[in-house]
Amino acid sequence: MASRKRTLLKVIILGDSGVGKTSLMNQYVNKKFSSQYKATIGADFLTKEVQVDDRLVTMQIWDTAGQERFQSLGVAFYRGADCCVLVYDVNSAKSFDNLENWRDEFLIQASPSDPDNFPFVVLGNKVDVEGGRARQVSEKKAKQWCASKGGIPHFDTSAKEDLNVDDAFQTIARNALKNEAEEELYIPETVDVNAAAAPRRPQSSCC
Amino acid sequence: MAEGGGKAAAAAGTSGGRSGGQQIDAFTAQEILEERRVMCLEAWNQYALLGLSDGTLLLASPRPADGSAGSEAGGYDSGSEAGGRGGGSGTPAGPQSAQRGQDGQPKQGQPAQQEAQQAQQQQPQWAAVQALRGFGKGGVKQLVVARERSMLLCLADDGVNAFVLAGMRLKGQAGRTRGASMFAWHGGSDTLAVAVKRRVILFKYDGLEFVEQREASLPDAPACMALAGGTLYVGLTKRDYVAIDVGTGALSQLFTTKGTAPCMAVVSPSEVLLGRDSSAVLYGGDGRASKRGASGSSGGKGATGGRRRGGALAWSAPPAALALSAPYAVAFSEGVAEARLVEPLDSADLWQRLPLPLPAAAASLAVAPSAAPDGSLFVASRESGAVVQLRPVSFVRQAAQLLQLGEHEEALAMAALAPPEQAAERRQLEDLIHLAFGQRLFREGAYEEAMLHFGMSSLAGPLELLRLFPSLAPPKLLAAAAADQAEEEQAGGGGPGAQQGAAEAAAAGEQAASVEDGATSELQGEAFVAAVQQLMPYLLSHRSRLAAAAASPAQQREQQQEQQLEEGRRHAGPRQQTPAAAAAAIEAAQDPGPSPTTRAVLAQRRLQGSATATLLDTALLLALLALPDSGALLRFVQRPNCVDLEAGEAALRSLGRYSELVALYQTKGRHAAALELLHALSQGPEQLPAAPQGASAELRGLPGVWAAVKYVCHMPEGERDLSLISTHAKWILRADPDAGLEMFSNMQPPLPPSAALPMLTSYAPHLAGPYLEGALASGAAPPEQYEQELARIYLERLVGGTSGTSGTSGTAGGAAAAAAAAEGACGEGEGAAGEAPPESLPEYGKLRQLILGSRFLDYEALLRVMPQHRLLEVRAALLERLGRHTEALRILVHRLRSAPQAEAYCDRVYQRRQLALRERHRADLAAALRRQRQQREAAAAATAGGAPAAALYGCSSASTARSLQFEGSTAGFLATPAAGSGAAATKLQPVLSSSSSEGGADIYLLLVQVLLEEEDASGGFRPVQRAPDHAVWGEVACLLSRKRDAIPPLRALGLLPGEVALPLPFLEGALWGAGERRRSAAVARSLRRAEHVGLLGQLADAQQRSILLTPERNCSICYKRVGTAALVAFPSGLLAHYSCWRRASSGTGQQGAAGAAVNGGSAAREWR
Ligand SMILES: Nc1nc2c(ncn2[C@@H]2O[C@H](COP(=O)(O)OP(=O)(O)OP(=O)(O)O)[C@@H](O)[C@H]2O)c(=O)[nH]1
Ligand SMILES: [Mg+2]
Repeated sequence: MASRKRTLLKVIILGDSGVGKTSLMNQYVNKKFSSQYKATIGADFLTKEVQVDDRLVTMQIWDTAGQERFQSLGVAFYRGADCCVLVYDVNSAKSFDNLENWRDEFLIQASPSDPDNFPFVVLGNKVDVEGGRARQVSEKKAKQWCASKGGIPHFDTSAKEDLNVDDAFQTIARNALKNEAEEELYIPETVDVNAAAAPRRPQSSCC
Repeated sequence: MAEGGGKAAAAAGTSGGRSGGQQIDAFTAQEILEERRVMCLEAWNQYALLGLSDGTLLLASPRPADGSAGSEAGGYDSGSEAGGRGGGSGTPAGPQSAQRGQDGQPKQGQPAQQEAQQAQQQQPQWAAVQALRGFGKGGVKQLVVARERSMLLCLADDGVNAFVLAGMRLKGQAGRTRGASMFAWHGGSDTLAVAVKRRVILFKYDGLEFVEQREASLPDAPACMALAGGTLYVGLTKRDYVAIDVGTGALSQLFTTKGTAPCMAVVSPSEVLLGRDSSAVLYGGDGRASKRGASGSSGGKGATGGRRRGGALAWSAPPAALALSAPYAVAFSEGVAEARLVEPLDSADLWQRLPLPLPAAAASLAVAPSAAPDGSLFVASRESGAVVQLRPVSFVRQAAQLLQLGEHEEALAMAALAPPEQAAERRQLEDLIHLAFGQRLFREGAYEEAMLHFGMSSLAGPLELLRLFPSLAPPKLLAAAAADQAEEEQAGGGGPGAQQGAAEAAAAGEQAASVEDGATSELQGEAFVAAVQQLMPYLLSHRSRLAAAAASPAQQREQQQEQQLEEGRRHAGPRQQTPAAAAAAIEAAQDPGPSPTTRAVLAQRRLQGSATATLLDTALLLALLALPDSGALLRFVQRPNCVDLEAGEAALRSLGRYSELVALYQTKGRHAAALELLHALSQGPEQLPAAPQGASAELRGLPGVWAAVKYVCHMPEGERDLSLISTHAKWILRADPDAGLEMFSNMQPPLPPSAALPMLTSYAPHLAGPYLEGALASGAAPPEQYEQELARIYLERLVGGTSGTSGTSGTAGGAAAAAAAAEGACGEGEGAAGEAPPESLPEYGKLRQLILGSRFLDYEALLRVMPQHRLLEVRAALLERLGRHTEALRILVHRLRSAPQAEAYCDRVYQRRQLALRERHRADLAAALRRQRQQREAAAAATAGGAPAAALYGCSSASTARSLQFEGSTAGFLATPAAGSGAAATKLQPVLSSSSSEGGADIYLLLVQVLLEEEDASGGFRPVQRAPDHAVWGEVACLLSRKRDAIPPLRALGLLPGEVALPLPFLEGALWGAGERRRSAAVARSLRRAEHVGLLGQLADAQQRSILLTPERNCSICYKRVGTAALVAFPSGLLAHYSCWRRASSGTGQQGAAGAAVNGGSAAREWR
């Protein structure tokens, strides 16, 4: 049976409203930043090619609405994600506290096959604001939380000043791929495709 | 000859059917030169380097293409024997037609123009541009470009020499290499390996010279060799391969090939491909067969990275030579070149066979060791002297071929190899590939992957997606959206290349349609649900895009531009148009305000948005209906949406999802339908065509009523329809009066009582009262208008309620019985209590309370409609408010026989009176003070002596006013229509004036009077003449005693019948009370006086000052001595004669001086 290398990765960005999810994605994909706030309605995605080691993969990055009233049917987006990006605003303790909820929500809705090892990446955004003097969540505190959740990678970012954005997404892509690799290990080669418990990721047929 | 070769290639290519893999046009072959002396080849920049047997180095390059086919322009170096016209003129057409032939049917619409382009670029004529004679002594045997060092390594009879590129100056020489047969160079480690006879000498180049490292001996003469990583691979003439460790010189045997000769090609700095039999094996830098993994060993084809089948490439014949042009390896054997992917993906093993005029023997084959920058490979036959260029077909074109072959993954990987200049073409092609791939995956049931690919293709809009799900897209809506889109495309296609774009879009559409045709039968059952689940996010993302576009015109504009830009990219084709389109877009983006044209575009977009949005939202609704109910559908329809009502209604109805339907009706403003449905759900769900499902299943009965109530309450004010509300109020009130009442009370903003009351009174009269109470309390009903209404309602309830005409608490007793009961009550007290007299209804107390507390009731009118002998307490209250106290008290005392009530009545009146008086008094006092201030101001010019007098007068006048009024108030007979204070007072005023005998504290006297009355035969009342019975007398006495403070004793005595014994308790109380009052007044007066005197003393102390009068002090006016004359002192301390001051101040008459003088005067008096 053919094993198949994914060249498409699905990444989903979650976090409170206004933390800069859309801005981060726009900075990464389009190299643009706007200081005007326009709340995301529903959800949408952008794609970006990224080279991970010797593989060229395409990331499909789903940006979601932080505002509850715009999250119509949010769950539909979570399915099949290869990596989940949790974003908070370092100048808002609340947005950081809510990461826990976002993570739980994701794990419940997406129900990945191995929740304990599902790749998350945490981004503390807007570090540029007031030169960091407005900061409410220290990097140490954030990293502690990340460590307690099984060593989630953490980045201080600024969508405005394009700080760490590329690095963060590089890690996101890499971890998404790692997820795939680990998943492959979990699927025995002799798996019966006709069995009811077919693997989650559909395998290409070998023709 | 070359021409013939080209044609032959085409023919052979088509015929060459091999098991496994797909045939592809990867290279085109062109014979570029004919040079019989050629010994070796190498590619460098745009040049092909030819080493000749006479020691000449020939540089050949394609001549710049000038449109005129250039066949006649033979003006190149006459010294060279370049392939002349024969090869040049014929070739341009050759491979071109070959491609067409191989394609079989030209199925794709897209590459047509590309082909034309390529035809122009392709097949330029080559010419030798430079010939360096005597470059290599005794013939140039091998040429290798060391790119990292910008050196050309050349093997000649005198050994390996290094030349500077591009100057071709000799730069270095590897010693002891004279007579060498071949060499290998490894750029990364600057290693040179030279084979001399059966020895290999290893050098390291240090930038200046080649330093010998070590030597190794070979078991046999070498036939070919290559360096990879730290290993030198050598193919021996006996067809063995050995590997030599560069670091140690240790030799290890590898294998023997059954092919004609050993051959190898460098794949990457750490990998070589070794020919083995009729295949080729990858070997790594460690001397072992390579296990291609994720190591950084890609041959420039990272994207594919697939696993190799057993790590070997299989050719159709044992190769004589190998070459590499990523991602292909090319094997040369007699008369043919065969290209294969080095690293095929599993699904695709691509290959191509090109017939070439090549000899069988490896020895007579010269292959350039590296590919040109454009991927071209050069190969020559030493026998015929033909030099052939294998030019790769552009990756985009190859990807297009793969798309047609259905090798989508390989196509994507190939497209990814396209150089950045071809990004636009690549994108355009990728859109097609993703679309086709998605469709294939979809058919195969890999919905998630399919959707991912659809998501990547800008061609897979909502329409394309929904065409895969016919049951989610009502044909009518689909057609409308498609028409809109087509229109938009036409409108948007004003720019350059629009027609082309449209044609291409049409072609793509056709293609999409044709692919679809295979999958028209829609999915069913679980597969359908699974597919819909995957589809959902993409529908939502399209929805988000539409919403975002509609939300901000600015963004809309941007999108429009982006689209233009993309269209430019996609359709304009020629590269140079893309920057132009981009520039236009940027320009437009900087344009601050929308120009008329863009505004028109905006409007159009919005229009377009609506049809697509309708399609999308309807599809979403249908999709959510297909999925297990999670409440998402309800949430979806509860928010603003563009669902097509007709389609949505039909779907929801047929599945019994009525709650969602109600919500849909609500968002569409179809309130009548929504309420009708709620009515049915609550009152007769079994009559609905489909059994209610989901949330609506629980709406039978009361929940449905409450749902309807909630619905009505949330109806926007502007959409309220009174007749609709009225229709539904009827059944709601019938089903649950409480809910109905809630509905009328909780509408936001409140329904005007003028609208609500008629409904209530006609459907649930007993609720009108409670409703109005609430409305009055909340301020929804203005009291001046509705208190009367409320009183009327109460009254109706009381009168009608007992007569049994309506309502819940109506008793069986008819009107007559009720009247009789009322009469009985007035005759014998609470005799007929058993028959639920009106007095027991809550309205009775409420009405009384309303009458007593209201400020707006028309009492006269109420009194007129009051039944004569019933509701006595209410009547008494009315009379009270009308000031007809005698009548009221008579009712209380004689009809109801309730002395406490009567006394409470009097207390109320008395207190109200007192309050009015106090208020009037306060007003009077304020007026008096105001008057006094005015007077003082008027008397400002008056003399010093006048002011205190005026103040004194003012004060006394105020106190006079008080006493006067007090008397007036206690007397109570005086009609004082003075300035009214407060509404209550004004209401009472006319009463006071009309009946002079009633008012104020007299009310108690009135009570006494009434108590002492008795009814005469005619129903009238007259004062008792004889002594009243003991009970009455006791009551009167106690009353008088309790109210002694309010009753003037003398007047009370006058009222008592003459023959009555002295009303001792009263008099006693009155006297004691009077004595007590006098005493306390005296005490108060003494205290006040003491306080006053003390104050005067304090004032004197405070004002006291001293002036020192000595015989020397002068009058400051006449400058004579003051002496003992009367004097005044100025505040400054100066003194003056009183007479002088009088004269001076009357002369000047200055106010300030006068003030000073007065003070001075008083001080002087003090002093004296
Ligand atoms: N100074 C600064 N501002 C930022 C940064 N990132 C985002 N912002 C601003 O923060 C605001 C919100 O950013 P968005 O990216 O729209 O936030 P969001 O997380 O997408 O919000 P929702 O769509 O409502 O969930 C915008 O005004 C941005 O300009 C940053 O790194 N630095
Ligand atoms: Mg956002």
